[in-house]
Amino acid sequence: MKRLLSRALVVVGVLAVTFALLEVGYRIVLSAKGESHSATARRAGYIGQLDWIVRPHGPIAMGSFEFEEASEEDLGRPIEGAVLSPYLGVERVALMETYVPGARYFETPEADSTFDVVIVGGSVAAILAADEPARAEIESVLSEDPRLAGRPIRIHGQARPGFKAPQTSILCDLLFQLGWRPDLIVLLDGFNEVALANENRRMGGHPLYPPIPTWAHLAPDIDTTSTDIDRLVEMELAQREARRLLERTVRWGLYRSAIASRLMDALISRPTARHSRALRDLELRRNDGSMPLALRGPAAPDGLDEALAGMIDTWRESSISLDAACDARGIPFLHVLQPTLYDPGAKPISKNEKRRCLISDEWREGVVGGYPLLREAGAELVARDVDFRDASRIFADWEGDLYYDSCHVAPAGSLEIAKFIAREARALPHLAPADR
Amino acid sequence: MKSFLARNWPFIVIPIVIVLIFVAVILFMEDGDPEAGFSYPL
Repeated sequence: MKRLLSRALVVVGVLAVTFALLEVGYRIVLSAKGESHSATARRAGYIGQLDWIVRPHGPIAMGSFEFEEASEEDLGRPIEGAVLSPYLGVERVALMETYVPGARYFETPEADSTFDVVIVGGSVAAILAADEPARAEIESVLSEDPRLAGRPIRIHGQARPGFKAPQTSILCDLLFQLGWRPDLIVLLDGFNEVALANENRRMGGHPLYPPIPTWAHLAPDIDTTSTDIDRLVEMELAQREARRLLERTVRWGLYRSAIASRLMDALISRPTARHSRALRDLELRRNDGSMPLALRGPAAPDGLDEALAGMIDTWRESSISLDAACDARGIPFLHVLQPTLYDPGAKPISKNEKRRCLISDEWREGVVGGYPLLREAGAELVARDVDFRDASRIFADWEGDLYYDSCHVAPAGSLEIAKFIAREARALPHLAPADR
Repeated sequence: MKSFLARNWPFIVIPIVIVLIFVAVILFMEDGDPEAGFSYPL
């Protein structure tokens, strides 16, 4: 018995030493390659992937929409989905359920004595609006403004992943017509308007239409074939397997170890690649001249240049419409162009970002061709008295890791964008109009 | 020490070999599709 115990101890000790040596060895290899292991960055990366899986993107709706859920405690909780919307293309159930309570709130004396900020845009805006330090920054800077006379600040996150112009201006119009009367609208956008719009084009749809992958799965007239169903099942199973692995990586704290992260990356790569291959096949089939008209919209423009020009026009006109709708109700409007990693000059891309933040050809093409045009159109907005601000260069001197995928930043980045928004909002000459 | 090693070498070498095989198999099975990845299409 004693001998058995001592041998078991030897085995346990050997295993511990082996893993410790592997960990040290791998960190040395990483450092020789000029890379480093950051548990915080790795965790953010895993949470980011998990976040994607549990949300309604791509041809399979699995998702919920509470960004606060990105914590260990909330992983694996019941999920809710997205629905078709007659006005927005696609809508998240959780946010649809804020329409009426929100409108009722704006009838109350509490709303009169509160400075209500509504943040709209895509996922970068949604993540920022749910990030506690970023919200606190905006609240703190605005609360110091004497024009607000000590009114408490309340931030309403109304951004939706995958949203782009004109969905954002249509959404605000919808909220206004329901009775929402915020004191400030902040629109943070840019990436989806060029990257996702270009993806629509490459998929055979119109760039103006809602991003096809965010609602194709909900559209009723898709002529799904049995092979499509096989692919959808394959994607569903691959997502489940990846989700299981990612949840374990986060729950067990494996992201703290460089070698364990590396091994989990290798394990996760298999379902990820299976998912990608099935999705690619599905997209190819749907692009094969058979995309339903409801999804495709009007005929897509020929060529990238013409398409980009249309995308930028829509973005600018959507901003002008939103500005006018706000102006008609005496609501200040701040439009901010978000930074993005693959916009040349936006940020020195770190080695980790280069490896982890992959971008598809259609998004890169949209970003590289579209961002300079967005900046030019932004200047036109300013000339038309729209309070447009360009934040696309705020990370131009930021060395090191910041992005965890091709467009989303870690919390430090959200905080930096929030600082920019807070500063620019406070500088608005009509932040608290007296004649409202 | 020598007699300890002589007595216990299988309990030292075998776990090391198993761990190394385990690591090698996982890395060998990695699927490096450059377009794969669960990230926001946003």
